[in-house]
Amino acid sequence: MKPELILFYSFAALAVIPAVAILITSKVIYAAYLLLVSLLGVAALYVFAGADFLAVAQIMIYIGGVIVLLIFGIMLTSKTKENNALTVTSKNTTLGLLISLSVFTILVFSFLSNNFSEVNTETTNHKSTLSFVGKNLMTDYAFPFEAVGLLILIALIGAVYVAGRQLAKDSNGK
Amino acid sequence: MVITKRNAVVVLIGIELILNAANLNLVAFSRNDEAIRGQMFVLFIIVVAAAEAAVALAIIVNVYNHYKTINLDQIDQLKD
Repeated sequence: MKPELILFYSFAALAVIPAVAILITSKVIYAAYLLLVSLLGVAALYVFAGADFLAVAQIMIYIGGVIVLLIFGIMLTSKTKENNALTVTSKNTTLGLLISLSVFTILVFSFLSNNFSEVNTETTNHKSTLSFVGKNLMTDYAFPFEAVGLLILIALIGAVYVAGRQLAKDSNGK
Repeated sequence: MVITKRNAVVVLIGIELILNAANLNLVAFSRNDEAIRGQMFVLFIIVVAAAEAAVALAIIVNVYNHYKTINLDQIDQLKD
């Protein structure tokens, strides 16, 4: 076995095992930190697929942003009437298992029916994709780039408004 | 996870995992693409996912302030 392949499988395990553990664990805060490990594994797999810019973006946006948001969300919603918001209960487990198994079967069959050995697996270039991504963003993808910038601006203002209105009401009431 | 878990935050974590699975496929199959269209697509998906997470958590905090719970089975009214 080539060392490259061993590394690939270990990073794949780093992405998959925490994802399974999120399903099993009963504590919300563990789920958030396991998601962090899983996203790190996905970032490592991006590097293997030659997407170096996306790997860095994944680490910065997900681990620097989304995980912090999730942990803030968990901390802000931890006290409840029955006092068990930090533990997770599951329901409809048979239905969920059935749906996930059927999706898994569909995916396995669709992968087996395609012949991937025809695809050229030789890595064509080891150059960084960074300059190519930047040029693409400013030429072919200029409109989606601007549109997604506007979208995230509106979404963040909306999020601050929705969350902040309630907090302001609470502080006025006290 | 999205179907079985009863905590709103864990459902959000499940959605993030699903989005990452799709992203990983797009990146893997754009490896042999000269124009790396898959990678550009993933870049926009990441941005939209970040916006979605921010809005969803704002809604969760709002729901929590209203119902004092984020158990999805107990949130069953539009008005009080």
